[in-house]
Amino acid sequence: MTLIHLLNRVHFADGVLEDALHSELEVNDKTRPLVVAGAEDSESLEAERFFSGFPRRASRVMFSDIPHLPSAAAAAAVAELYRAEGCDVLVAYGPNRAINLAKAARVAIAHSEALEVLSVDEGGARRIASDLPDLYAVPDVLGFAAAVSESTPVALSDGRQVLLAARALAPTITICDPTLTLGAPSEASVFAAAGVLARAVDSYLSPRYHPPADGLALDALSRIPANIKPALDNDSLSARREIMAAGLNSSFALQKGRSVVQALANAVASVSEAQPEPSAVAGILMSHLVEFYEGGMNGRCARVKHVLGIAPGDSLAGGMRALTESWPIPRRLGDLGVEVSALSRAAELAAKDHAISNGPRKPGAQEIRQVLQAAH
Amino acid sequence: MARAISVHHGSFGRATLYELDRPLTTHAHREGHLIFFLGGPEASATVNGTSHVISKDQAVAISPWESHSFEPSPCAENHFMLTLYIKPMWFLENSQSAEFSLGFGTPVIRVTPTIEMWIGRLTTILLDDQPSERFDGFLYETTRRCFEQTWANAEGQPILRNVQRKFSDFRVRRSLRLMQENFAEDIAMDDLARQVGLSRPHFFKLFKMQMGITPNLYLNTLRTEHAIDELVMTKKSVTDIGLDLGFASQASFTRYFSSNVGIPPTDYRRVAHFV
Repeated sequence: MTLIHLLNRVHFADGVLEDALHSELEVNDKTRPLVVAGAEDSESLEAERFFSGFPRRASRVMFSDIPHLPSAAAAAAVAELYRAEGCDVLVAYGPNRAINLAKAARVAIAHSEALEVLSVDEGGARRIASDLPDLYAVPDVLGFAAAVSESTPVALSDGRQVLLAARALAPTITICDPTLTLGAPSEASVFAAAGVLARAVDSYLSPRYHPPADGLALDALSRIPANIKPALDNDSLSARREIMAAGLNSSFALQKGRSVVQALANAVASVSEAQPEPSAVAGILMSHLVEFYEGGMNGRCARVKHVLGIAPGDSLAGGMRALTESWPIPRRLGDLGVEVSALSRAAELAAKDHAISNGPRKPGAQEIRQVLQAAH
Repeated sequence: MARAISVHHGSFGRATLYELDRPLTTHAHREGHLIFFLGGPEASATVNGTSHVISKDQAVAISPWESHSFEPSPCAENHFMLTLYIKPMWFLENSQSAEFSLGFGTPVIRVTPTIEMWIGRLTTILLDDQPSERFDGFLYETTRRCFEQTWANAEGQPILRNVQRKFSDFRVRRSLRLMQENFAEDIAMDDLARQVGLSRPHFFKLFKMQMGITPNLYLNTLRTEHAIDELVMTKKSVTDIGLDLGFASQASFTRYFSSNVGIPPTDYRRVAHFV
């Protein structure tokens, strides 16, 4: 780390959604937004608020055919629609898959080359243009892994996956409104919290040197344990806000690089017919990954345990499982419908992901397979 | 006769100098609203059913979506007023509150010597009618001091007053979207209530409870906002603007606009500009 580059433009307040969206579109003179949001999300009750935030002069176009994970084909379709309709901004609403697809579409709009050629593997991080079309992101409860991060995985038509990553890929503006998560289903809320826990633990354990990201990861962890129960039991706004703040900070912490657990979760979600939510997969995998890291954590384990309220004598993996024991969440990959037969393919896919080197101990394909099997 | 002396539009919202001689009907704005007395006889504003004097010693603050009206004195002289319409986003960008709300603590502001000084500075720039780089900063300081005073005098805390209530009913949320998307059409409230799955009385009650105003007032606000946008940002004739908003004639549109804004639309267009 020599350059710390953390903030894009983030609105964060209860009830800010409509005014922030309205104001940003108006002030930046955007009149033809292309909305990237799944059909189901666009028809949700919360979406009424999102759509009522568009200025009267903004004539919007919709793209709602969002794949489970961003694909080059879907990005090309968004780009084609953007050009054909003369759009001037992308507005992604909902979970990570919508926001990440919009990121890939930005690259497809700005470049004539195939996305594969602009991937990290091809040195694309240095070539992705800095003047991409603007992207406004409005994450829902499951949108925080993508909301402020600078990368997205992209599935190619031949089954391979590549990673697009560049500073310019972070959304231009992110609008975080905790009231948007009021009444969110318990399953989505718990998956989100599990994802935050996994991302923040893995980011903090990474040996890469980035003090602000470490601080943000620890802060994210500190906000989760006390707030999950009031959020689920009473739909408490203050608890919802804390979980959203944790989601945001854990996403900022990814400045240390995508985490190992993201690489594994993404691989499992990509190959499994069950199409499990990556945050839920990450939540299940993290304690097993921590067991794999074992002694490689360079004393960082103690800080994580302290923040999560785990006794010094207990193991981090055991403490994490105990912490989430009362959460209504699947415990094993099998509970999410992930097939045993998918694990080997997932391990091979994950082993090719650059993020696999970002943890305290790098796993090979065989070790990844063992982690996945232990979690199944 | 009512007259617009100066109207500034900007990222902050709107700032106006008006001479008013007639009442303004009950209406609302999405902006925070401040009314300051500059000259003439004392007037009053009714905010949520309670009347407050507007004088050299007292200004009135109206929160976004609060219903209010303006009543002139009976002596038929013109009232010289400075009115500010502050966009919540512009003012709250630097706020440290967890809640996004430009709600004032009380509707009454005591005009202290400091606030009087800021009113004078803003008025001078508006009267000069020349763009000034200092206007934005002056406006922010005026608003900040008024906002803080209303909370210093208020009982209770500003945090989390209305947010949870405001967003809790999906039928109200759906009606907001429907009105937003169709405000230029002739929306019958009975139909709107039916579309969101409620009887008319239940819809009005629920809407008022959550938004603080009736659906009719909300719809009027959207139409007035649109009319102002069209007057300032387009070259469309006043007649066409009125017709597009569903008014039968320019006369009926002018009557509507004057009773909601204070001055006729032609007068508004004549003096309005961006800073």
